[in-house]
Parts: sequence; C-alpha cells; structure tokens
Amino acid sequence: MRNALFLTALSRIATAVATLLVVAAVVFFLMRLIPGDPVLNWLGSNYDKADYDRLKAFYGLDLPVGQQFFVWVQRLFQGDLGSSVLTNLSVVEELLRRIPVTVELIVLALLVALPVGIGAGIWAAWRYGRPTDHALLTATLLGISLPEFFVGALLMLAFSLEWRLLPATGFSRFAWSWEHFSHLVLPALALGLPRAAVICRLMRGSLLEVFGRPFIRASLAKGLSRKATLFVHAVRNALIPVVTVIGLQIGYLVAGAVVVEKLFVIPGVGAYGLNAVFARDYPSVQGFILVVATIFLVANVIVDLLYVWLDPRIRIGPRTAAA
Amino acid sequence: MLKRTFVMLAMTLSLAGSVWPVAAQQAQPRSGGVLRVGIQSEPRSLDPLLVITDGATGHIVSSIFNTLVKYDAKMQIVPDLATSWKVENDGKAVDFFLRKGVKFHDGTDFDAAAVKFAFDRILDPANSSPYRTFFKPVEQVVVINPGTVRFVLANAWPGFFYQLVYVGGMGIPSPTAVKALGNAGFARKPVGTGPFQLSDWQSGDKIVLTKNPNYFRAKMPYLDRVEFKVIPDSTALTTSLRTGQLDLVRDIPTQLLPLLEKEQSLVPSVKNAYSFDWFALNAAKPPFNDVRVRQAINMAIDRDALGVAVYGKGTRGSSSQIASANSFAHPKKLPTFTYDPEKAKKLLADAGKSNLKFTLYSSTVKPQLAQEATVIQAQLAKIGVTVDHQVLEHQAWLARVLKERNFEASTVGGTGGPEPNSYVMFWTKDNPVNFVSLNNQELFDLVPKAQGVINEAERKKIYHRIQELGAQEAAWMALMEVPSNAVMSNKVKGYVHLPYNVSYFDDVWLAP
Repeated sequence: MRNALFLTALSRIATAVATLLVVAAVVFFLMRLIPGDPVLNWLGSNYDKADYDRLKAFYGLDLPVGQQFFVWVQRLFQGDLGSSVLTNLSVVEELLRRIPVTVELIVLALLVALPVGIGAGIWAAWRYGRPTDHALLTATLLGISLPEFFVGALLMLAFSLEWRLLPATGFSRFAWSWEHFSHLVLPALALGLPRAAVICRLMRGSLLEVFGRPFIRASLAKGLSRKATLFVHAVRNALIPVVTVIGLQIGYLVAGAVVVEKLFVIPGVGAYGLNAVFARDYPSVQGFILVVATIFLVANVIVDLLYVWLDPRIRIGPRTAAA
Repeated sequence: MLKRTFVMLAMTLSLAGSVWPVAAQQAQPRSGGVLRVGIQSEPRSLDPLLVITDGATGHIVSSIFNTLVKYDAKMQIVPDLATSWKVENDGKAVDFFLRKGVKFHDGTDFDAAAVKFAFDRILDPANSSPYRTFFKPVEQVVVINPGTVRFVLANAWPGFFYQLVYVGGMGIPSPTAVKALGNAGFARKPVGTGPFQLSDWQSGDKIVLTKNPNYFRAKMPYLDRVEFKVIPDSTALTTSLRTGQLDLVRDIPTQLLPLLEKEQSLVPSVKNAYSFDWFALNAAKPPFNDVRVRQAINMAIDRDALGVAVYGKGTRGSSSQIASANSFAHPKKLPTFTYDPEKAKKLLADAGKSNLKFTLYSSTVKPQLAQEATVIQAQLAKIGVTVDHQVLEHQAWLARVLKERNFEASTVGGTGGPEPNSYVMFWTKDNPVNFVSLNNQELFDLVPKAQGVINEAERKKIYHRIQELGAQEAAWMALMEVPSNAVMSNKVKGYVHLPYNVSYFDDVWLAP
C-alpha cells in the first residue's frame, strides 16, 4: 500500500514537472504571437521612437524570441521570474503575496461546492423520481448553465444592493474575523455554486449506478437498513468517479477565480493574470501561467492519491495491469 | 508690446488665483473622516513625471504632489508652489517665485533646486519620460536663488503654463527620495509636498493616502484619509456607490448615469470636457488616400444622432478638432461638415467609389468606440457604403493601428486639454502619432508656429485656420464631445468637479 502510494506520487510528480515546462513554453510563444507589445502600452500614444527602442532593449524584448525563452528558463531555475514591464515589481514577490488569497478563495469555494454538491446529489438519488429529485435537477441545470460572473452579479445585487447584508466589493487581509470573511462569502458562493451543480449531478448519477450493484443487494439482504447501506457502502463507492471530476473542477475553479476576482475586486492571482494579459506584460503572464498550472497539477496529484486511498485496487505503475 | 500682453495675461491669471475655489459653503467644514473613491483601473506608477497620468492616476498624483501652478474651478491657471511669476525676454524666459517654508513629506525642504531637479528629470533622455517631447522648448532650468527658478525657453510659449498642469500635472518630487529610491522605487513610493501622502498601496485592491500634517495650507486638508479602491467591473462599481461603500467616482461609463441619478443619496455632475471620440481615416492607403472619399464619408455621418445614440441625450456631435471648452481656440462657426448624404453620394460617384467597402476598427479600451462603429455602419449603409466592423482588443489595436498603421478606418478615444495645442501637436510630418498620415504642408508649418505666438488674436486666427485645414483633410475628425462626469455621495462637500484628469481634495470634507 505504502509502496504503491509512493510510486504513484513519484510518477505523477515527474509528469507534472514536464507538463509545467511544456505549458510555460507554449504560453511563452503564444503571447508573442498575439499582436500588441508591452512597451507601446507603457509609453502610451505620444511616444518617441528612440524611447521605444531603448525600453525594448531594456526589457530584452529586442532579442530573438528563442533566445528570450532561453533567458527566461535560465532565470526560472534561479527562482527569478523577472519583473513586471508594467509596474517594475518583482513577479515572484507579487505572486507570493497573491497566491494565498486565491488559494483561500478556492478552498472556500470548495467548502461550498463539495458539501452542497455531494449532499444535494445524495438527496436527489435518495429521492429518485420524486419532486425533490426533479427540483434539484432543474436547479443544477441552471447552475451549470450560468457563468460565474453572472451568478456573482446576481448575488451582489441581491445580498448587497437589495438586502444590504454583505459588502459588494472590498477586501481585507487574512484574519479570523467576520470583517475578513464577509468579503469572501459572495465570491466563494459565485465560484462554488456552479461547481456544486456539476458535482451534484455526478454524485446522483454515480449513486444510482451503485444502487444497482450486487453488493448493495447483499447488504440489504444482510438486514442492514437502507440508510446504513447508503452511507456505509454506497456513498464511498459512488465517490470514486466524483473525485476524478473534483480534480478537473479545481481547474474550473482556478479559471473561474480569474473572473470572480475581477468582479469582486480581490487582489489574487487571477486578477493579476488577467491584467497582465491585457497589458501584454509578458513576465507577469509567464509567472501567472506557471502558478495556475502548478495549482492545477498539485490538485490533480492529490486527487490521484485520494483514489488509491478510496479504492485500494487502483495502482499506478508496473502493477496496474494486474489490478 | 508682446511682452506686456503676456505679463498682463499672467497678472490676470494670478489675480484670479488669489481667491481659492470655495464651493458649497452653507455649512461649516468639518475636519476628519475618510473619503473612499472608486477607480476603474490601477495606476502602474505614481511618478507624475515619468508616466502619462491619465485616467485615475491623475486624481491620485494631484493629491500627493503640488505643481508650480494649478487650476481653479473655471480651469484657469492660478498659483500653487509658485506664488507669482514674471515673463521676460520676449517670452523666452519665465521666472517663478516660489512659496516659502514648504516641506516634502520626507521632511526635506522644497526650493528652486527641487524644481530644477524635476524638469531636468523630464528632459534627461535616460529617464524616457513621456513628457520630454512636450517640453522640447525648454532649453534650461536655472536656479537664481532658493526662492526663484528660471525657465529658459527656445521661443515664446504661451501654452507653457498649461503644460505644467497637463493631465495629472508636473508634480514636483522630493529629490532626496528620488535619489534614494531610484525611478522604479519612487514609482511605488512617491514623495511630494501635497495635502496627502501615500501610506499604503495594495496592488489590485486599494491605494491609501493620509493627511499631510505639515501641509503648507494651515489646518488643511480636512480629510484624514483618501482611499482609492480599484473596482474595474462596472456593476461592482455602481453597486458599491449605491450601497455607500464608495463616496465618489469619476467618469463612470455614461450609460450607467441614469441608474445612479435615481439614487437619492447620490449627486451626479456632468460637464463639458476636453475629450472627443474621433474618426480616423488612413490617408496613406486606398480608398482613403483620395480626399474626396474621406470628405464624403465624413459628410454621411449624422454626428448629433450618433452622439445621442452612444452617450445619451444632450450629447453634441462635433466635427472640430478642438473642444468647445477651449473657448478661445474653438470658432463659433465651425469649418465643419454638415450632414449631407446626397452630397456625399455625389462625391463618391465623382471619385469612382460608388460601391465603396472598407473595414472599420474599434478598440476595446472603452465600449462606446464599438457602439459608434455600429451606428456609423448603419448610417453609411444608407449611401450604399458597406462597412465591415471589427473590434480589436486594445493592445492589438495599438499595434495594428497606431504603430503599424495597417488600417483603413477606426474610431478612437482621445483627450486634449485646456491648451489647444494638446489636440494638434502631433500633426507634424514625422511624428509617430500622426498615424492617419496627414500630409499638408500648411498644417505642418502652422502647428509648431501656433505654439509660439503670444498675441492672442493672432493665435486664435492660426488655430481657426488649423481646424479649417483639418476639416479639409478630413482624415482625423471628431465625432462628438465626450462629457466628463462625477458621481458623489451627498455627504461629500467642497469637491470641485474639474472636467479633467485632476482632483484637488484639500477643500473636501464630509458632512455627518
């Protein structure tokens, strides 16, 4: 068991690092293919040709693109992501300051998405075919169809403007206080609810599938109550496909965070990346992509390891075929 | 004679300035409180000399820094760090007499050497200041004594005073702080003499200014703090304003104004400003290398209807190049196009372009530019012209239209200023910003000339002629004047809405 976990982890991490480098390279060249240029953005409309050339050389943007990439990778291995063309601030420092904010938002969104999604999924499956099931299915269809920025704007209009319960925007540094969390309730809901809808549908489907399996019948025949069967046997088995999807959902959460952070003005990684792309701030975009890809990969490695825990039959490595 | 006119002009200006703008004085001003201002984009730097302080940046730097001269409520030049000035040598030298006892936020003294340091910093090519081209006529800045500084100019330059307060203004930085922090450091930790000093800058969140206890105006400012909150999303911005999380927002997208006007706790203000949306036709490429085609297309646009459609009722179409707020340079009877689709059709037929097709770009920098393009598309369809409208993301627009000049037509947003030259200064042959490729020798001669003429009547004549030529060329024409707005809570008192990228918060106070 332990050996399997270790092997799984090792192979996953190796793939993750390779993936990261490929992602970084693709984004590096793609960014330079999009029209636009950070120096022009910096100088504004009334620029002097000599200033333009000087700044371009200063940021190393006059070098051939291949060479620029080489320089970037070289610095990356020294832990240096360069500094923003826009603000001159160190990309590493800016990202380190913002990563905890985004991670907190994503964790809070997961705290919304997982209990709500899994809970509602179990409930719908339990009440299969009855009005509760239909109502939940309709609600989740809405949840899946509505994008985060729309849900966010609705929440803002209801909770901030109509009922004046929660602040619309604003942010305060981390603290165990209502002041801090009050600013994150709406963003976490906007980010988490659409994900909850997806998880709910999956959980419901997966449970219904498990209900038909022989071991459920066996357990009921043993005299175990329906409730006990559900929670002791069915849910754990039904969770396996759901966990896979939760890994993917974390990817959506990172993407959604870009929009939600912009809407609710949360100084996280997402808002930073979005601004950087609009300003063609190449070093910041590179740093942003690296962080997002890392969060995504780390989440997926965790999910892979969770499988092994949930279902010991799953192995990764040479013994997979046997299992 | 010339010299006397200029001195008299300067005297009138300084007299006007002896009365500070005092607004809404029914109640007694109260000290204390925090003013929360919503801004839609975050400044990339708060160094007023090394970045163009447009948008929100101007409103922030004008509170941290003082300029030699500033605006009063009527946008006239009045003293600030200079208490008076004298124009000498036929306008080729200006002596500023500086306010005494002023200290920078870091405790160092403000004096003539600091003024020289500031302008040398703009003029030094190593600093790549975007204002260097604006200050080309400045040959030298000389310290006469700690209280007097002289600007030696290559030629007489009546627009000089306005250039000192261009956009957010040429704020005078603490030389000690600039030397200690370097340019990059100073951009994040600006040190000036203004009523407020920077105390916190949380990127992506807010910029906090706190009261300068040693401000040269005794017992001022009233406010303890001004917080600028970065809220890019319009829904979030208006909601924050309506729920009282914000006290003031400048230049909100106009389509949101009716919504805010209904709110009882909010006071909106709309003023004629120095901004236009423009219509640019590339005179270097077919089909618009034919002046008849350019004129025809301009004639076929109903600008008043366009203005109302995009910015709401009361918006005036314009086909000038200088805003009507610049009253002296703006002729009553404009050398303009009247909407005349029939004549436009005839002109196109003469040019052999009856079935004209072209691509019209708009940038995403503000949504109105795309709306305008759509309306123009519909209006031109009426005379048989087919317009393919394409929206370009702003950076792509900058690269394609401004830099590569690879376009046929585009809508463009742009701001001038109280000095008419700011609208036309790039109309010179090799200017990188002459992206429509205007090519008219008389225009190229007149633009630099207008800058140096002191006699107002003569100057006026030249600017009228420039606009006449501009209309004839029809490559760079205004579509409508874009009004400036401010929406504030009814608790905010003493805020003077200047229709420009500048705010003076000294006199602002909050009612209980």
